[in-house]
Amino acid sequence: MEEVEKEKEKSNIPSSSGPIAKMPLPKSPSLQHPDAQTGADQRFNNALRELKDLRSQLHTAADYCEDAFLKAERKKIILESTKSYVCDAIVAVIDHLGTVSSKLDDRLCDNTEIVQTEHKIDSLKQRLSICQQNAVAVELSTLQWTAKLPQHHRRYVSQSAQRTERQNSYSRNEDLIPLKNPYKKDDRLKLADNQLASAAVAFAKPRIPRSSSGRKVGMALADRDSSSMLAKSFGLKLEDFHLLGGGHKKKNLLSFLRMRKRKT
Amino acid sequence: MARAGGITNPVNVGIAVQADWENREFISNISLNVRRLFDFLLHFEATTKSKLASLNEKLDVLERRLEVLEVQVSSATTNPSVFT
Repeated sequence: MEEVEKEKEKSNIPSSSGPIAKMPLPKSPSLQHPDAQTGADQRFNNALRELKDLRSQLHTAADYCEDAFLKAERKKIILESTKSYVCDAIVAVIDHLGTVSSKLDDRLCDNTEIVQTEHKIDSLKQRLSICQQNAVAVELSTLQWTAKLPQHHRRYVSQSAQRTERQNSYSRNEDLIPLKNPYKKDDRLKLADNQLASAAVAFAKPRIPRSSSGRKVGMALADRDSSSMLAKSFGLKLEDFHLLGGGHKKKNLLSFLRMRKRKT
Repeated sequence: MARAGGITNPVNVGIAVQADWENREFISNISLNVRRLFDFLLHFEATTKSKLASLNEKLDVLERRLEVLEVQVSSATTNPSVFT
């Protein structure tokens, strides 16, 4: 043992606990406490900085080992210490590279911000499409419904024209109904037919007093065929009924009958 | 005497050869590990490039969709009577 120490002093060679060993490699990042840094970005930056520092440190250590090996007489000890330092350095480099690569991979795979941005863009697009649909619906309603429809007095409108106008009004109402009415189209058609039938029945109900012959005049006005029966009963012509404007006005009919009686 | 303590001694030659082989083995191990490390770096570069490319593609798609939305919103704001 004494001889070995003397040889070391003579050769002035740094031992394994010499300057090379005094240059400690940076602490392995995998052994560091995970809560030391907060945030993935900060941890990645720290790992990358440590890797860069390790590069400069390894260059310095290599230069020192080369100088010591060239200057030393007993090169075997220098060689052994250099070997051990190279092993430790490679392990440290691999550890740092693994840490940096894993953090970078985590950052690349963690696409929560992109997913959130996609969701935001989807919601904006949906809201814009809803606004466009509402605008189109408003435009269609303004095109379909006109507030000022041409209105004429009934005496100037023939029966067929009234029927078509009534049907058109029902069809307009049907077109406007779908925005609020949950019924189906067939149900709405049935409802319109029932309303039309009830209106016709209410209109055809006999409020006119019975004639001298005992026949109901109002019932006879219900349809066009019955007008011939009325004409036969009162001795009138069919043209007279057509001149009445459809024969739906009871007062006009009564006045017409009185006028005919006066003439006769 | 010089031959007994010199390099020509077969024992010393054997020791030197053994040390040389040990050094060669160490160097080969180190070089093998460095090559593995280099392969890992190449593989990591390729995967990182592909991930960055896919990320760039996603960002391009998002940018285009944002541009379309901006154009639609600007067209709607230039014609506000549509929404009244």
